[in-house]
Amino acid sequence: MEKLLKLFLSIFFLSITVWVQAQSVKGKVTSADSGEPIPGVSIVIKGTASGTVTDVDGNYQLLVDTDKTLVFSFVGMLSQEIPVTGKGMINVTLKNDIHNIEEVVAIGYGSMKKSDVTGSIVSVKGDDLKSNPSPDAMSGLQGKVSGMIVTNSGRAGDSPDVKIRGIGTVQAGTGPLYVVDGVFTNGISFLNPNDIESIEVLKDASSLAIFGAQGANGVIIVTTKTAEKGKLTVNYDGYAGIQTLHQRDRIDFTNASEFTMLYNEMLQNNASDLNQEYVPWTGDLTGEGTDWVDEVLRNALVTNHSISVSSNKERSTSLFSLGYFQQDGITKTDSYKRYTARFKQDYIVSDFLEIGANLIANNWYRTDYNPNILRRAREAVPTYAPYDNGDSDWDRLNSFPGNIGEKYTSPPDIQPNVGNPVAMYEILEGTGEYSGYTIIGSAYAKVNFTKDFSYKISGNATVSLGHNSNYNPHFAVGGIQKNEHSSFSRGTSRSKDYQVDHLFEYSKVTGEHRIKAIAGMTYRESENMGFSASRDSISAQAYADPSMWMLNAGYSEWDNNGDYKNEVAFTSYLGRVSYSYKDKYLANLTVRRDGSSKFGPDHRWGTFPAVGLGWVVSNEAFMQNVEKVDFLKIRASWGQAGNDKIGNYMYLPTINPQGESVVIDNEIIYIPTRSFYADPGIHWEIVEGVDIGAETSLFNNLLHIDIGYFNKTTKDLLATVPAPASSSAPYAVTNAGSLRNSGFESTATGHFKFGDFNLTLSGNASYLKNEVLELGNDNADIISNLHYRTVVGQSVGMMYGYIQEGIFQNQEEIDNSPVTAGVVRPGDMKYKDLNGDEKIDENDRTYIGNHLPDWTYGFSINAGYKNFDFLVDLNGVVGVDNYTEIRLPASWAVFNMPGVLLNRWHGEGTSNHDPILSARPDNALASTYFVESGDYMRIRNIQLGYSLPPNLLNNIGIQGMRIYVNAQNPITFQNYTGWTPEVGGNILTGGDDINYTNFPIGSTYTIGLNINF
Amino acid sequence: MKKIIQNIIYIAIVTILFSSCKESLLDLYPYGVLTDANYQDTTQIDQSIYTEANVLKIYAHMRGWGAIQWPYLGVMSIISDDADKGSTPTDGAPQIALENFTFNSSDYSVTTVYQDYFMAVALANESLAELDSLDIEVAPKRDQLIAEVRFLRAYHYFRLTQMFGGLPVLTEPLPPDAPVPARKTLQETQDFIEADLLAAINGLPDKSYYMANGGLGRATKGAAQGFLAKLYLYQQRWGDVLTQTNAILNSGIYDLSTPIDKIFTEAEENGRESLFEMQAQETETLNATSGYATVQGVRGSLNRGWGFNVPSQKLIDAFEQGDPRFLTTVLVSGTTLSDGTYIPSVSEGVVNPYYNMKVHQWANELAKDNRLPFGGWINARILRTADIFLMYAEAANELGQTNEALAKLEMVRNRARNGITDVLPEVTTTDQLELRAAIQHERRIELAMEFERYFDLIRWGLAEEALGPNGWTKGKHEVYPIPQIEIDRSQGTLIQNPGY
Repeated sequence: MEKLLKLFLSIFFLSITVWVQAQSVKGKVTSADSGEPIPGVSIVIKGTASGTVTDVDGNYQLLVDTDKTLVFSFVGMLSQEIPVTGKGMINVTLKNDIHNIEEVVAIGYGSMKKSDVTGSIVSVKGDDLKSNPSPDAMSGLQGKVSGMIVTNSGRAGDSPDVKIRGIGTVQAGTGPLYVVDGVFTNGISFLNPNDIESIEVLKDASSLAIFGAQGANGVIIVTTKTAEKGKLTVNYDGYAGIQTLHQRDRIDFTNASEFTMLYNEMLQNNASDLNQEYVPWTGDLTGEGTDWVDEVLRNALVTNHSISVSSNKERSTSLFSLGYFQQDGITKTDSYKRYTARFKQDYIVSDFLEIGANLIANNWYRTDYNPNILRRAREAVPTYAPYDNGDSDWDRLNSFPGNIGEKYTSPPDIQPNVGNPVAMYEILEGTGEYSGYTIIGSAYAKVNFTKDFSYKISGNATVSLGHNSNYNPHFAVGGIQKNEHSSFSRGTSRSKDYQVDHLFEYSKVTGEHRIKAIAGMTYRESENMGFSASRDSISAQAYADPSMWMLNAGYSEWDNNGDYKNEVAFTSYLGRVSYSYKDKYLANLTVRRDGSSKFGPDHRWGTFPAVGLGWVVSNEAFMQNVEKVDFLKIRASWGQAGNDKIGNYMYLPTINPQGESVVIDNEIIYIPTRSFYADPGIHWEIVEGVDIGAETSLFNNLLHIDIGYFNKTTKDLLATVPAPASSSAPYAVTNAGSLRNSGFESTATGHFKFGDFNLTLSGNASYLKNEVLELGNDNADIISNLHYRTVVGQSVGMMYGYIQEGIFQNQEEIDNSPVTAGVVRPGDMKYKDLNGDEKIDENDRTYIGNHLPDWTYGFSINAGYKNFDFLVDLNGVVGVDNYTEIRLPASWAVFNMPGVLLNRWHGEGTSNHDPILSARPDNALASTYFVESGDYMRIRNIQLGYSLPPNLLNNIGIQGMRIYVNAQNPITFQNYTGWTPEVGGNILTGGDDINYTNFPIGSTYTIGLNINF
Repeated sequence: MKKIIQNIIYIAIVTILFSSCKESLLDLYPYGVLTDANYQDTTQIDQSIYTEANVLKIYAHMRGWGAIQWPYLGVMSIISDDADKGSTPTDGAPQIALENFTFNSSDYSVTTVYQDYFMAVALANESLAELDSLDIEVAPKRDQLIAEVRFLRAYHYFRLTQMFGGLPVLTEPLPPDAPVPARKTLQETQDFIEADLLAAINGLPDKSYYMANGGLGRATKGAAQGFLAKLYLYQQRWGDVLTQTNAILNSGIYDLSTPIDKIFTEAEENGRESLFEMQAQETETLNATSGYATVQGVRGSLNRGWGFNVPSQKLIDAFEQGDPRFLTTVLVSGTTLSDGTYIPSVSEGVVNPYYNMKVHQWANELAKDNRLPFGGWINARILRTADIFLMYAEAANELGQTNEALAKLEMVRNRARNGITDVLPEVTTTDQLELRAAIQHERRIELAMEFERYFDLIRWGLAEEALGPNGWTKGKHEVYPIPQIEIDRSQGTLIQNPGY
């Protein structure tokens, strides 16, 4: 039927063309989504250069031959072609190009149409991040980019830990490279998130090759905002809110009565095991006692103000922005403050020359902050009050006149090593200050030799200054919580970074061929230096008088000082050719040659090649009739990149002239030692990867899907093996071994519209498998400790130990079960006899946990109804384990116990999971008892916004105004006993949560406002 | 167009120039860090000092955590019937397993001591390899240094054999990728120690040489003879024990002239009583301290340390009536010491009723040099003259040289009387069994809290009697388990001791 119709129409139109003549055509162009008229739509007569544009009301009029076709196009919308065929009035509705296949993405040393990309690159718009109440935009990317794991920190002002596509190293750094407007950095905490136009995450080896030796961990390209087209605009963005750690997100600890009961039970069990008399213990307080965690936590404020002014004239654009961010931590005395400023100016001097400059500055402050405070609050027993209750504390013998520790209760003698947490933060409040400045200045000049050929030189300089000062007063609270001498220390640091890029670019479209090539050379040099000094015995009065917190107020005889300086330089050559034939067949070839001063003269050069191929299937003739498929591309790529995140000069053996002290003739003499044994051949790790993927848009761009498979192998893995005690130490770090990360990534987005209601659903999920292929030392296992090992064929850093089968309830059960060679009594752990030899020994251990998640996912709902908008996003991980000893009695002194231990074994039938409270060593063997799932699903944000109608605002000179409320991390679904399931940690011993230094993540509730003038 | 091409050529030239001079800019070196290349130039120190430094590092290592501190106290002393864990009941709770013999191959103290003693062996082997390659012309002290290293290697191996039995015998540096050699028998390991000590005796100077020329604190011929005597004692080679102890006592360098209440003072460090010590020091500006005394110091209100390794009631009960050594061994809480230091009682906030007096921080020492009250300067006495006398007496008695045995025993007891006449009656029995028991008793008391007791009990076959009620099991607890992590890291070449 359709074919018949087409045939009929063709004949009809053909017959009309007989009477070709010029006629006037007019009409109106409106948006299919909003129904609003669109000004500035370009209307071109196909096959000619002539045409017109729509006026402010979307109207147009032009003279055209009736046999011609009009092409309507506008940025961000799908073009339409309409034959005139004698019509005098042609009204057009343009649809949003939701898939935005013409979207341009930054790829490093240039940009590319998204449809031409043959690697795996995810692009995120800066506007999606600006209401995220964090100083670091990366924090807002959690759960948004498939294959990227963002682990946030709960500390004020902290940057998140970012890992892309798993862990490809065991020794070197895992963080990605950040490139901010072409400037290489290690993070973007200096950047106001409001200044960010877009963030591109480069994941696959072929995309990373252009960054050579620094690219292996992935690259985050950050492009800052440039003035918008059109007019002068002023934007204000601000939010304020409160952060809190809900009771449901805290660890439940025993109160004073519960603790006293459990502790005495443990004493009784220990005494009985030793055939000794049991002496009960009593603390100062019973009942609820002191909730130390509550004492050190608070509801903390977060505030952000950001204003930007931009203007775009014909030949110059400029943008100026200021930002202020202030965040108090959820633990008392923790706070962070940052001021940012940015100035960007671009000029088109002539067709021949473009120049521009960008200046980014920031200034931050942090208060003194003791990272141990929450740990100590978790450890402190609840049986004493923070402030001295008038009892004579045993440690008062160590007090002295004017002791500022006098008003606090001494920690009880069962835990002098923990300290009174309240004294801990109150005494040191305000005594330390950390601050810094970062200034990044960059400038470029671009010479357009011809329309197709240009040269660009850009240079930038980054200067960071840091300062810290610390006054440590003389005090004695009790136990080890004291400081014998007051002291003051001060340190400064300065880092300078220079970078010069030369880039030639050639691009040409001839017929069905599009080609774009770049060739460049870049040089970068960093210098870091710093100085620190301290002196002892500042006068006692200085505690109340910060003006005395100076080195000069101390005794110069008791001083300590030091400095450091180091330099690193890189020289690189790079090139890339992108070719497209008929927009169907795509090829990208990349090569970079890097030289680095970090390595020895014979090992400092390397070449990193890559190739990417793409096939836009939807542009093939045979696909033209498949109407449900708007776009389909299949891509495949291969490439190499390096990881040079190891120490500088590790190829040079160094000597510490005072490495060790020894006593001869009762006098101390210093002796030189080698700092480490160096491998002169050490060089970067090489990551080689293959990527295969497909992306498609379906059903008139309603649904977009991107799926990909990757397989990357790290070669020349830097590895040191914790050596047997019998081997000579220390030993060399050397390139040996390899490991593989492979997996799938998928993203799907759907757009739906029902009248005034529109809805966008998007989700991503990635699966990752890590496998050690080869290790140094003849594939010897890396036995990090008794519960972590890295072994060929397994994932890096597997947890290892026994499988707990329950708790022995009575002697009869013990008599009928395989047991360890030690003394086993009722209440002890029952382990699984894996090899069935009727005894429990080292051969019954196995792999019991993996700290790398199998699956990570994110999901978001964006909905709009008239002037309201609503957002929910969530993220989660599946298949991750943490190793926690929170249930194990402390080795040194005693700590408060988690409430779960109220369910411990204390008689037949009382527990089949938690053993008797005791020091029995066989219950502390590494086992599944200590492995807990770190899986979680977190509601990241719930946001409701309302945009005021423009007609209300225009009278008062405001273009647009939106208010919103946001709840971040309001709910986390998890079963983990520790502070936060997001433990992270070292590569070889990841997920290790023994000391609970991982900071819990609070919930943040903000109200925000955006205004455009 | 021509101008454009000119521009291109110009810029290309600039770029090439830029890049070609960048090559040399990659030649960067660390600042303020000495490397092999610039070490000699900068410091004008000849290589032999650096070589000597490698030897001195082993002495420095002896101050360490596993070498002489908390883990060592656990496996050498707390496990015995002479000492209890001390501190608060749950502090250092893993050592409860040492007290009731429930420890396993994951035990922290056992593992740490094993690793730290093998670390000393590794340091020694590295040092030896370097020394062996030196020409005596360049390094005139080479032979003495080799003798020192062989003594130090033997000393650490001797402790390892006491604790673990036969072990891998390592004679040269073992790179981390080399397989761990299999364990030798106890006899083979002891043969290796004997050879080292014999070589050390040959090459080491007497203590008097160091007293005249400097170097006090380094290994001496006497120390090597003393440890060889102790090795023979463990092998029950009584005649060889006599030979070695005789040589020491005849050297005229060591005697019992130091009063019992002065032996453990700073003034008597490296004195006439001393054959070998762990050397520590604390001055106002420098510090080479050890936590040896700290971990045993009075816990609680006086706050002189952590309060571990305290004398047990059994030890206290073992003292003869009025033995003056009681107060030089046991520090009693709630009393004032001879130097005027008042130790508060338990009710006044001190945690334990007794502490080890042999690590007391004497008032005049603490007052020096702005020292911290943690005894960081205190040397551990590793081998002292009374031990030589008692080894002599024991060997003589076993060989039936009763009078020799009685004489040496009386010399130790006589000093112990400290001028008090009606205590510690002279032992006169000539019955070998009775005399053996008397020497065993004397050894326990004289050397109490000095790491001899536990392995003496095992050596004498008395461990089951003394420690059986605590859980000591014959056929198992004569040695400690090889640490599981070391078995794992050996990829299975290390075989576990029976019973673990």
